[in-house]
Amino acid sequence: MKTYDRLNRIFILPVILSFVIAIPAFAQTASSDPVKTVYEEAKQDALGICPSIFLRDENGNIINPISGVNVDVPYSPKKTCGECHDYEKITKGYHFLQGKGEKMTKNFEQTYPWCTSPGQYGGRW
Amino acid sequence: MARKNNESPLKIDFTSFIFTYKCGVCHPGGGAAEYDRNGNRYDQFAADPKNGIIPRGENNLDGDYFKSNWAESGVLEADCLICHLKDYNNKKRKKQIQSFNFRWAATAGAGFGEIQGSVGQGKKPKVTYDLTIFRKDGKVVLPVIKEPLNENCLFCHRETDWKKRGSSYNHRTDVHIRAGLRCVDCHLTGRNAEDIRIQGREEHQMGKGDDPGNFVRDDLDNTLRRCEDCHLKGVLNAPVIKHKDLPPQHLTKIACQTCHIPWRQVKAALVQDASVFNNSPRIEPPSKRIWSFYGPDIRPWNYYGDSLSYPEGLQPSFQFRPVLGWYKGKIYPLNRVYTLWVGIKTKGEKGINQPYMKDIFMMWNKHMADPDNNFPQLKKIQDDNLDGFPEVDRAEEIQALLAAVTLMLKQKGDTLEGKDVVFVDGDRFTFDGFEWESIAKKPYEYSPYGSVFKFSHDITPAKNALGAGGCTDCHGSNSDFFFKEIMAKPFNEQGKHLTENNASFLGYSSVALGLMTFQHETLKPLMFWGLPVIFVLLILHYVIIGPNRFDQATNDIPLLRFGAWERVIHYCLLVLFLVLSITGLLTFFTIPFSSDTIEWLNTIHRYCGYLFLLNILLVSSIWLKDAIFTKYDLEWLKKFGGYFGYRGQLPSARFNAGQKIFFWIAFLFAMILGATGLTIIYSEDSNLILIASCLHDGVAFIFIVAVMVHIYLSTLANPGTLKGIFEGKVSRAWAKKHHTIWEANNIEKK
Repeated sequence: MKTYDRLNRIFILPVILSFVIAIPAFAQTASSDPVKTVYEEAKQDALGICPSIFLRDENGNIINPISGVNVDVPYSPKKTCGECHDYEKITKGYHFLQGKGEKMTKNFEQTYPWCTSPGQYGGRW
Repeated sequence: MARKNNESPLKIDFTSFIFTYKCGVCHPGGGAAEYDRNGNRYDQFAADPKNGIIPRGENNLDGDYFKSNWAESGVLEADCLICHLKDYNNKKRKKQIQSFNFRWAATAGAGFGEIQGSVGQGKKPKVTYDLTIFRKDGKVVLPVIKEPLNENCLFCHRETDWKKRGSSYNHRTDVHIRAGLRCVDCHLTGRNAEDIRIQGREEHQMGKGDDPGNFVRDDLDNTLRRCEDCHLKGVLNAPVIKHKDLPPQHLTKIACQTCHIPWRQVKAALVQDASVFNNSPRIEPPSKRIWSFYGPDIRPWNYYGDSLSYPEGLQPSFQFRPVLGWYKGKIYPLNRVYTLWVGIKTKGEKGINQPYMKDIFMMWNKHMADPDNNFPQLKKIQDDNLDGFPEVDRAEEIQALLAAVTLMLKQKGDTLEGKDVVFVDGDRFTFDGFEWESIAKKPYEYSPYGSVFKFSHDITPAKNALGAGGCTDCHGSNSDFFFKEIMAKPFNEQGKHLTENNASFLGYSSVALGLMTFQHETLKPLMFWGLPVIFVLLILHYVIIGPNRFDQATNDIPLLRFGAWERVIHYCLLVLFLVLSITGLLTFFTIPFSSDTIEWLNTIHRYCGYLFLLNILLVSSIWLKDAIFTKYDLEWLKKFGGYFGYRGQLPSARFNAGQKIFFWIAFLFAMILGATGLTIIYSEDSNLILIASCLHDGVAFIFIVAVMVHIYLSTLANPGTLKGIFEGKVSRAWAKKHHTIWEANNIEKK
């Protein structure tokens, strides 16, 4: 039993210590992230237009035709613009979804049996 | 669009892959061009061996992967630069999409490099980047525009809005573009948006209008900046609206666009006929030949040929008046598309399904290649009206088309069990060309299967708007607003067009319209000139005939003619009548007051009207017994009351026959004016309002003339009368002269 208690203390101690060390780190993360985000957004607003950027491919790798790195792949708007902008939020706009995922009303569904959405994607002319 | 899960390849026509290929040229990517209906990215899902997706295979009849090649083509990611890059080359993007090079489209469109190869031709594309746009460190500096330019919006909106709305979006046709406005100035987005439904950083729900024919995100309708948002406050230096001399009720019933888009400058499709084959030149891809379009003049229009032949941004001019129709309680300029097509009616179901476009195209294609052996029935379909396009209008032609489509579907393997092939002509369908059944529709539609588009762009300058030339721009008997002929049906059995006037479509009756035009073309000038003429005639009467004088006795004892109560009510009636006449005439004639002033005058008119009615009822109850006609009134009438020269005594009691007539006219007219006035204020029936409005003005005119005569007779024509009205007492001599019997009765009483 004593051996078990000793072992227990040996394991618990580092765990507690690691938590103690980690708390300020978590606290810092929690308090610094919004500030960083706000600052980054403010910087983007101040610039007004995009700064110089690397083009990136679909895997997020840099395309650098000058140094000849990764030059045979097309660029990816998602990874390139998505470095700074919220691609997922932006593409929730109806220009991108074109009605995809939108529910049809019962009347719409009955009147247009061939439609799968009220929008251009699966909808009417 | 094919569903995600299908039981048979016959159930699949338009897949997500085809959607991206065909529609992606006008859609910015992302959404349905990037992710399947389970949320997987198409190319990654297709490339993962464990999903078993075979390039161009049937792939479990999955509507997202059937006969697709996503792994090679890649997906169309949302291309930010299509909207945000100056000088983006959309033609290059389109070319890549049409080569099934979805993954490479954004690179080509942005001009980062040239693409060699085509997935469609089995040659893997290769990028050659343009080194001149890269800095030494390998980065690029892009001329990115935060708020997109009109040119970028028009990559996608120019062509489709041409067909749907006859939109032109150029300096010649649109006052806003001429003023330098951008699309995003009204279609506010992101943090610029004023509507909280779409406001937010990087929020990309563009401010949208409310189109009857579009159903995408209807919950975000009217999130754009409306006309009044700028033109009431002068936002963006917009001229603040004055609408002088425009009765304010127009603004509650008529949309701004109705008057400010009096004409369209380029054609819009009025009829979409999917029942015949279009042999016009320059239609690409050929599958579009199953659609024939007719323009606003109901004449054939090779829209696809025009759109391919004309340089981007240039459209042939064609001026036409928009159809005006009710939509959500207001009159809007609309383009209602009439559709003719072959449908499949399933017994017991409400809607009508349609055969796949590709099958209809193949049927026609086979027939055109060998008319005698492939679907020979179709030879019966002729161009009966010799307008250049054949049309299915006669029962024989309808039967031939239905027989051919039925045969085609059966050849394809469809048993058509429980289903019938039908011909749909606007808001009706038939199984045989003889018996027709109607299809429920909204009042502004030709049919639920024909879209309706509102006109909102290509606004003319205010000086060209309807109403700039006065009320008769719309209310005259020649006005296009009500009386232009609009299409009711494109073809009857002889291939002739059927039309109706716009007023009929708006729900106005011929009686209401007849009275409306009478009011504006006859009554208004009659009143304008009639009232001064009456005034002059009264002066002439005074000069030529002269006043009806009496001998004033020196020892005259005054008689009480009107008590205090009677006099007060009579004063009130006089004042109210004057106020009603002045406010009524000011709003009736085209005087350039602002809408606010007209509204203010209307409010005064309305409340004085209520008081006038109350007074008339009171005075009628008091004077009713004195206003009953008796036999001696006839003698008074025979001599015209002495107003045309007779100077002898005429019998009359408290009121003479003329005053009795005036009493009854006043009572009757007040009741009519009250009833018509209340109708104008409270009725929702547009016909009743037009009828009531004309009656109100006509009766008011006669009433004003009668009161002018009444005032003249009470003052200048009969000296001494005014004393009785204001002081209550008249001289005995006056009474003996004008009201012999009443005077005698008063002596008897004394």
